[in-house]
Amino acid sequence: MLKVEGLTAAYGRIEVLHDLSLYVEPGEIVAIVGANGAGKTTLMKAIAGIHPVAAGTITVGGEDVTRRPAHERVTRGLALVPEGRQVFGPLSVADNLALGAYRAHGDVSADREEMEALFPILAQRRRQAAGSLSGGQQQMLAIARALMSRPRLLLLDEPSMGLAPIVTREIFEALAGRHRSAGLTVLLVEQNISAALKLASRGYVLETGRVVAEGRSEDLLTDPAIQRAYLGG
Amino acid sequence: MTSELLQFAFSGLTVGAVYALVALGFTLIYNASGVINFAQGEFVMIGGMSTVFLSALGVPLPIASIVAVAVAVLVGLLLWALAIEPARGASPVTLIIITIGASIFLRGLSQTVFDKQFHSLPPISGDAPVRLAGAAVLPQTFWVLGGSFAVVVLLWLFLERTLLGKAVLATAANRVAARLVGINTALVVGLSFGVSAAIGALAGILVTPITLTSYDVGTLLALKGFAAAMLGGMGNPFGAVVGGLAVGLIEAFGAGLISSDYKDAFAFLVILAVLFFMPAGLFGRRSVERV
Ligand SMILES: Nc1ncnc2c1ncn2[C@@H]1O[C@H](COP(=O)(O)OP(=O)(O)O)[C@@H](O)[C@H]1O
Ligand SMILES: [Mg+2]
Repeated sequence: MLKVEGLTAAYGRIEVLHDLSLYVEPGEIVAIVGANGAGKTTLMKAIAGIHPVAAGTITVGGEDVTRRPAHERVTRGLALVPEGRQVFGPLSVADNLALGAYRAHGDVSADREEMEALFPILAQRRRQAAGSLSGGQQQMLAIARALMSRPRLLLLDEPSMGLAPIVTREIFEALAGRHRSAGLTVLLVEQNISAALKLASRGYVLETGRVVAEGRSEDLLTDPAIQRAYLGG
Repeated sequence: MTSELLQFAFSGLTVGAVYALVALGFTLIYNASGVINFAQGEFVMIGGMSTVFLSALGVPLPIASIVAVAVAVLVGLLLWALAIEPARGASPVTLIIITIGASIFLRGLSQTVFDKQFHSLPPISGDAPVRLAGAAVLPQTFWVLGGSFAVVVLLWLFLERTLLGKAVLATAANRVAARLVGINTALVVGLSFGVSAAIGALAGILVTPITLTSYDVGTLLALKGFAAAMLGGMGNPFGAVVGGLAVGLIEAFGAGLISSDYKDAFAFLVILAVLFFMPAGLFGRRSVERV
């Protein structure tokens, strides 16, 4: 589904991702965990096409998209829920969802109903400006907006950031449900390592722009080195 | 006295409607790209001057007007494609300087293509004034007001009722998120240049029978449209319309009651007053919405 090979990315002259490789198989949920500043957001931006790639390749479903602009990657099946949600604040919830399907053809009302079933609060807030929603509701909207494009791979950058644990749980349960019912493929970035690795089947540990560990979630969760470094165990 | 005030009000609303259309052009481009397009007044000039010269060649007025709008749209798209788009990623200040350069260039070009004279167009419904509560109103005034109203309604329908219009609003609200849902934001900027040019050209055609046109009318129009957009709150289409009408009225009453020598100074005063006392304008967008 997704293959990242030898990815290098920088801000100006400061390189923050170094020769990074990872893959996601269809139907998988894969987590990327790591401390603040490890380069997780930069990695997601590079995959989505909103941060330039200095070296390396990004392949989606066998097609090299490294040089494609962000808006064309949406039609190749990528959808990023960016860090900090980034909903269209002045626009209504309904318009945000409609724009999520900007590249879709035909009738999208069935998709919208599906999203409103997934996050019922969005149906109640349909006419409200997205900027007036609470943080958790905005996160739900951002996820629903991304799902409206029917992505083959959903990229999620720290969906739990700034949210109460109960809201985080609700969002993670909705994602797990989508994964079971629709076979949704997800690449999930989280600082909340245990929650992320419980949802994911595999994971990568990122440290200062490099993958320092990878493997099945159970193995990572029980790895003493990772426990010491990230789980305070 | 009241009939005199009514007279000022009508002439203020007429020029104000034109300022409002110029301000709407500023707003559209600013929202899509963060650029303040100082060549906006030249679109008005191109609309008026092209219609004048086409009809002098014997082209019927309606066709001349349509072609003139098309010429302005073409110029707008060329400005975007040749000057703005290649400089993508440059700072807003750089882009603004590019539009000032474009404005000077377009003025020079039209001096050569057209001439340096003042020109008028025949009013659409003749020039016998209509008596309204003691004020004499030119029929063309109603064309200017009606045409501007129609533009505002059409623009509103486009932005609120079509997916492409919502893509324009989305780009204005959050450019990165717009790209992430698949919107080609560079094309949205191009579209905003095209639409702004069309709106400006239409304003120029409608107002030329009243205010005349020449190669350099764009400079003052851009200044006054800018004052209007600032007063309304840069980026707010509703504010642009209100600001335009307000600047027009301030100018008409100021010229009528104080002195017509200072007619063009009022727009400067509006800009200064806004900068000093309310930098966000009357209806300035709350900056929290711009993440
Ligand atoms: N806009 C930026 N300009 C310069 N450096 C940045 C910028 N954004 C992030 N960085 C730097 O890049 C590194 C990786 O950041 P980021 O990808 O945001 O990490 P994470 O998402 O894992 O917290 C950090 O060292 C950070 O300081
Ligand atoms: Mg981050």
